[in-house]
Amino acid sequence: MAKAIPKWVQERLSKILKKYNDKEGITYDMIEKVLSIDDKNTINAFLNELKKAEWIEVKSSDEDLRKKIYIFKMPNEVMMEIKKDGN
Amino acid sequence: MEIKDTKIELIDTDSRLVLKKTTTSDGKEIYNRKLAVCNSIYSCERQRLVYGKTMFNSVFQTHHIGWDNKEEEWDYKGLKKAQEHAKLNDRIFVPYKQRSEKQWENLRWKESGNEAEEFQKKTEVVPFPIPLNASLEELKVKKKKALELLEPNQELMVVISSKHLNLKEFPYIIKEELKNSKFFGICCYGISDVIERRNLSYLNSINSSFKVGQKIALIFCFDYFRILKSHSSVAGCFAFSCFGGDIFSERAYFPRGWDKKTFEKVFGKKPAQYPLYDTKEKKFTTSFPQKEWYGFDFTKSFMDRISVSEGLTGYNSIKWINHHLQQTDLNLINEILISKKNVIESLKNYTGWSVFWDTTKPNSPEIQKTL
Repeated sequence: MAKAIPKWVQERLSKILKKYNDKEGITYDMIEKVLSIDDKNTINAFLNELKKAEWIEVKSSDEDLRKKIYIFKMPNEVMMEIKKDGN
Repeated sequence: MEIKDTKIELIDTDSRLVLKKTTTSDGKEIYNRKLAVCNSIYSCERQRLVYGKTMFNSVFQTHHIGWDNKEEEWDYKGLKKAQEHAKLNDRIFVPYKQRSEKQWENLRWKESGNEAEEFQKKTEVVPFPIPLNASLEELKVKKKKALELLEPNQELMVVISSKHLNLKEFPYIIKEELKNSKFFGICCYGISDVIERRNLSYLNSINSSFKVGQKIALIFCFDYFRILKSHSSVAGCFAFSCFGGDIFSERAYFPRGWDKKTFEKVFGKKPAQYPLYDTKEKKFTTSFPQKEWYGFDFTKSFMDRISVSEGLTGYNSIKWINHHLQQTDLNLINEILISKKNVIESLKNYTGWSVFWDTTKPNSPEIQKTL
């Protein structure tokens, strides 16, 4: 069940979703491009926060098993989960 | 002004962050997490004085003394003037010889004793750097001798390297000094070395193991990097405050000994490359990422608004504002502690602080068990 995430993670997530809303899954390189203000440490911490809060799923790429694909849950889906959990 | 004492005001058990209150001889009460007026800020203050501008609000002024590579001696130039400036502004003046790692390696007790003897004639706070392999027993003997030199109004400040090599003795030295001294100095680096991390974890653990109301030394962090580039560009003062640091005096630069290449690298920077402290992100950023992230370049916007009557160059203006902004954020940590909010949760609302906390903060309770 999804949990709440810190504000700084929310801000980054909304930037990513704004750019790649219609994509099935996105790669680390794509995230890196959007989060231009951040270094690798910060991006990893950001992804870790999302993973801990169950806002993303991580899968291996079909083309290259070494690469990861991040699938973001849509905010309305997450909100429903949080609301359900709260009840 | 003199320090009467410093006592533990509050300890947050989860974060192990400590709030200390220092009382001065004239009745002032000061909380810890204070930036000192270091060499570069003192230089800014002097320029600002010409224009009748305000000083930086801190009761601590440090003076880092650099090693002159050409003359092969310590360069004391400016020490007296800095001391006068501190006295005029009712500050506690703390001198510090800024040693390279090699100089720390070569430091022996004889030099420590000489340094105490030398500063005993010059300043009220007398630094006493100790060799990298020093043990508590040795320190007790040598310190006793050094203390005999001092006048009643003088304070000896033991300075240890965060890369102290006598790992077994480091915690005992820390415990003894925090318990029995008013000041304690630590030479800091960039928290990228295993030994430094281990020693700092002990410092943090011991510092937070005192009881509320107990007397404790003020921990001066010297020589740290203002920006920790390998830690997502968080402020060095924030990083070391997480490990128990109370008063912060960043690394000073002494261009006199530099070669042409280093000189050009440092002073040839364009304004877009000047790091500005971002209070929203709690880390340093430069123009390009600011433009990409916020949609505008606030370094440029700040530079456009600097008044000539501030008396500073563009580069120094950024330094001056950075110092203020970092202090504001250190005050914010104190406010979080005082308001008894969930400290870790509050810190984790900000990018720089959150990333640092998750990646670098030591697991204090584990170390605590071994003490």
